[in-house]
Amino acid sequence: MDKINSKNVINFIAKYSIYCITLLFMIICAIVNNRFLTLENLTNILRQISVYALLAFAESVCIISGNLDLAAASTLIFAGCSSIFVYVSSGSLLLAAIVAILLGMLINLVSGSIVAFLDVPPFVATLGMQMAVRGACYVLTGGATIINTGENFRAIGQGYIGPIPNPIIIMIVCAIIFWILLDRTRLGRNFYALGGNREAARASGISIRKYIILSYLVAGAFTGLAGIVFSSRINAGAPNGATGYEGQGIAASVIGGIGFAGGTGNAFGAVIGAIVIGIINNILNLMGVDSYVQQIINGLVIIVAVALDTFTRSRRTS
Amino acid sequence: MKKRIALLLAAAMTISMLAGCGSKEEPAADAPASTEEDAEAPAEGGDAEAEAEAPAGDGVAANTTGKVAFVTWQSDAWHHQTALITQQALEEAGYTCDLLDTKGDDAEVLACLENCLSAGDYTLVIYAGNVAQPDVCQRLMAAGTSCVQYSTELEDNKDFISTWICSEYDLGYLVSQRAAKELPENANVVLLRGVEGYSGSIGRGNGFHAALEEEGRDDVTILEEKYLKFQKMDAMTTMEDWITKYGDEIDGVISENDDMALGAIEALQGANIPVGKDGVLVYGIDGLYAGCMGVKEGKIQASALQSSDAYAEAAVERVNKLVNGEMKATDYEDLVFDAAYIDETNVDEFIAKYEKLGLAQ
Repeated sequence: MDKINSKNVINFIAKYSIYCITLLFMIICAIVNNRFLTLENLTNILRQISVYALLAFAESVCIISGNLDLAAASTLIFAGCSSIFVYVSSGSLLLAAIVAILLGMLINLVSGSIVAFLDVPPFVATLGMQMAVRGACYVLTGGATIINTGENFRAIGQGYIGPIPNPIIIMIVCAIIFWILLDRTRLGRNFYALGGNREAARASGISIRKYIILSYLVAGAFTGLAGIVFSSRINAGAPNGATGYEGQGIAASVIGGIGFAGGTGNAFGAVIGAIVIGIINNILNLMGVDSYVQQIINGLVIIVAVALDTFTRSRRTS
Repeated sequence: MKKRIALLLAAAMTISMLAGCGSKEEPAADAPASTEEDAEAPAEGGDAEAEAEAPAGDGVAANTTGKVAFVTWQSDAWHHQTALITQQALEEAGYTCDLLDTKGDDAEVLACLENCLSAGDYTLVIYAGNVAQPDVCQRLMAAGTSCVQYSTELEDNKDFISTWICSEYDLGYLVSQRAAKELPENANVVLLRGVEGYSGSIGRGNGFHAALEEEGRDDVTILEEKYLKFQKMDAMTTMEDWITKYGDEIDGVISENDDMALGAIEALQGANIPVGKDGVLVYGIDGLYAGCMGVKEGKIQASALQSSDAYAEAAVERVNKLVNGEMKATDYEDLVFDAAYIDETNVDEFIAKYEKLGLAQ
């Protein structure tokens, strides 16, 4: 057994820096507000970050493979609104969820194809798709919020299995699937290879175009699922909703240690990143901090969290 | 050779630009003086008062194409609804109406107005924004296009271009007045605000506070007040946190729009806290279909509406006057529409109207 000495402790902290940072946040929050560590509040946080976490998975798979998806929020909303129509006409939540996932994948197939075959930079391709898909959503809904969601649409976003809210269960299941995909499959390893060094990946026989498209497809599945969870949570199809959520997804990924240059990061880091964002929003609400000040603090905390993580990683590698 | 061709083309472009800028339409010499009648907009809750009219005299005659541009934030539910209803009314009257999207950005408002100027043939431009656009409006009016800024009252527009508004203060006051009558003694209330600095939010917020004060409800405590950008999900998330903080101490929710009110209701119901007469009293503003359904279901106690019909009827009337020469493009006529109060006694009329217009989904 290794001796517990300062060097080992520092190495441990460096290796698990983002988890340590999260724990530190939680301790500070618990001191600042006595309601923070209650079961109800912690459940709230996890439920509230479920959509961010799903988006973080989507963005993570894109970023790890050296791509980006700025259309995630638009795709989420389009899939969410569409799922309502499917549910109302079919009465099947399962079918609605499947359609949402498939729509997310279809939209991302377009994005991935533009990147893979037309060599358009991911930033540009998905920026264009962001506008186009949002516009398509307005066309789909006529610009109005859909409120006739049927009998039980809210079950996904507001229901429980036992004492655990459904969004939390969905998030945990997706985190496990995401971890298996990244860590235990060739698909995941090829995503890392693609993001780490594209030319080396090409030289080792990895089809670049194929894996770019696959990365967007996987991201689209998570995004579509996030769409039905979001719409179910608010029990409405809001074509102007989720604005800026792609930024939250990217922030959660980056905070969770997904390297923006590509090729690094892991599934649980994305969850932790979403949890950090959720904790910040929650504690600031509990403290009654003004919305706009909250935005400033959010931005600063993201910078500090990533800077700390980067610093500890560089110490570890050196 | 290429250089000569390029120079020739450049010269041709310059000459055509100078020729285009130099040509001006002469204003109609014998156009009748503008009338100074009170404008009427008799839609539900839409009785209008003309607050200011242009002095009679020379002015620029309006384009008689009957083309209207409705420049607004198309992804905002109320603005989009108003645009659609106005477009429908104008088309039924034999006019055309183009909907332009500002995306809620005043820079886009300016861009849209400049595009209208370039088009050159609009009879009327109706636009919404947080700032006045005096320069481009002056050019539009000089080119025969009458201008109306709606939903916001700005000092820079006074005695210059028409302003059509429904008092935001009244919207807030009406629902808060109902709240003041219904809230229990020593009630704890949370306020869901819109966008800080936005004139609509300022007006509604002032109305909220004024009604509670004037109804003598000093006993009401405002636990929290937060700007949530009129977004349902933001309101829901914040309300979940407030429920954690205050538990069942919250007696009332007053919201600047129905969407946020509905978000708060989702959070309350998710926490198994009753909503309505036997639970937390919730009030909203907008009176759109979603809000009206909330009132009908007893979840929202009252809402208030800026009548889109009133704006539509005023638009048709204005275009009629411009096309007939009763008003000039440079004339202004301000209108103030009454807010419509919606509660359980009259909500069915509004729902029926929305369903008839195809705005119910």
